[in-house]
Amino acid sequence: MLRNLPNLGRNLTSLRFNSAMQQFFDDEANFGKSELRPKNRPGRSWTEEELRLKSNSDLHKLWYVCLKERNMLLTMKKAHIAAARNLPNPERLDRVEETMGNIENVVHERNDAVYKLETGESAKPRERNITSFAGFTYKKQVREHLAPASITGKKEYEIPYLEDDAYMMQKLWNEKEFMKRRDKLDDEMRREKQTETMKRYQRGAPRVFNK
Amino acid sequence: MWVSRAVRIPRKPFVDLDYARHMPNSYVEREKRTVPRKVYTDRFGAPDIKQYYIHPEDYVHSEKRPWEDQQLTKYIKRQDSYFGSQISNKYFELRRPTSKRMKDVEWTFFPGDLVQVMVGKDKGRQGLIMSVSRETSEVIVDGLHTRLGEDMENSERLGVDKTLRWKEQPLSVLKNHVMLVDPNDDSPCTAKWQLNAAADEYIRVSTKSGYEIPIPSQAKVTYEYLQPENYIEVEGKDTPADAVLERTYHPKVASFEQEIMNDMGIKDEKQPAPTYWY
Repeated sequence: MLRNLPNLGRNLTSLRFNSAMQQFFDDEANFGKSELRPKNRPGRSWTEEELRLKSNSDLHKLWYVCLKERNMLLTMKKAHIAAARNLPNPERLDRVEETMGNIENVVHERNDAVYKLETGESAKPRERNITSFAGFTYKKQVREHLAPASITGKKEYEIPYLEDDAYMMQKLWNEKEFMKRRDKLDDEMRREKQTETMKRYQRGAPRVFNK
Repeated sequence: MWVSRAVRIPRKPFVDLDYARHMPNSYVEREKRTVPRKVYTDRFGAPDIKQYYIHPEDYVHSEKRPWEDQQLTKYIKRQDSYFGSQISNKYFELRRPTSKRMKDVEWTFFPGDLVQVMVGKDKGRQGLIMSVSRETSEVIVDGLHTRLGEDMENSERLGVDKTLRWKEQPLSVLKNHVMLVDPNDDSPCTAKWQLNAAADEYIRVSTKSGYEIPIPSQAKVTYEYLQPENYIEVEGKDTPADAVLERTYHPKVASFEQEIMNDMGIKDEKQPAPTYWY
């Protein structure tokens, strides 16, 4: 059943969806193409320098513009996979995601500056050294919990002296990693020693003369 | 107040010039297949295990871009043999190619340059560079240093006649198989980067005669435009250049979230319950 919708400047023959749903799809001129025409090809991603010029509300709006574009491109990607076809210009997705990543970085920079000024602490979640059951001591980002550690009992700590199993695990792990490093150096040395003639005569006489 | 003369370091545009400079890195890596197929994270402190399609140390650069034709079949073949060895737990010899990329300051070849071929059957002939491959330090010269090749391999098997074509072979810059032509006397020469008289940009100067070899306009061509000024902006997708460079940021002592709430008139008087970070 065709709906009688006002002409929003779109192709009248394709009024299958309302304008909200239509935003999930690319321009009809781009359907069935292996590569988009230059006048329909969006340009490069926003660089961090360009984004730093923009106000926070501008970045907020740009984020949602990019989000809608990403949704459209992902819908088109799925549709092309379902039809066993190649999406034209797949780098568009990478560009949008690059822009969104850059927006996140710039917003984080600004928040970091304000937090450091006001609180003295960074906007990045704090990192703590913890030791896992396997004996590895590493940095882990703190997580937000509703109840304090004394109630949940979920707080992990750094353990200087390991239990039997963890101690054995670390000994064996370090031994394995040492052997890997030693073998890698041995392989490199062996590869350097092997000359071009040694490779050529590896299985007897060469098959081609005067190469 | 002393007005200090800002020490302006002239930009080195030759560092960025490339046909595919606006292609995102994630796209290029995905096309090269040197991306992880699966990553096992959160291993209680042990390092992540990455399973690759093609191991980054196994990737051999070619004079063709990763998304050009016939590259895909090569990558899939290598990917399949690597994966096969992984699942059958066999030793797989990675190729570990040594990097042939020259330093940016040493590289002086651009698409559109007039060069002279120094080797092969076209020795002594001059031609224009069609494309440049920085990773392999090679150039392809239009119409020279060619080899007769088939358009489609094994086409007789499919019953199609062989279509032969003279295909240009890459010329190595490292081995001096190709040299720039001095505009003074049309002879081969080497070039170096030098600051111009006004000390505001780097120019290519022939070491022999000292004449400037201007960078051809084809060097600035990218996938998106022939000249940056003539880029066609897509309505609805691209932000116009003047709008991009307009500065709207006025720093405030408020977080991003707080500023957006103020702008949109969102008032949140709720006091959140205390949370614990550990």
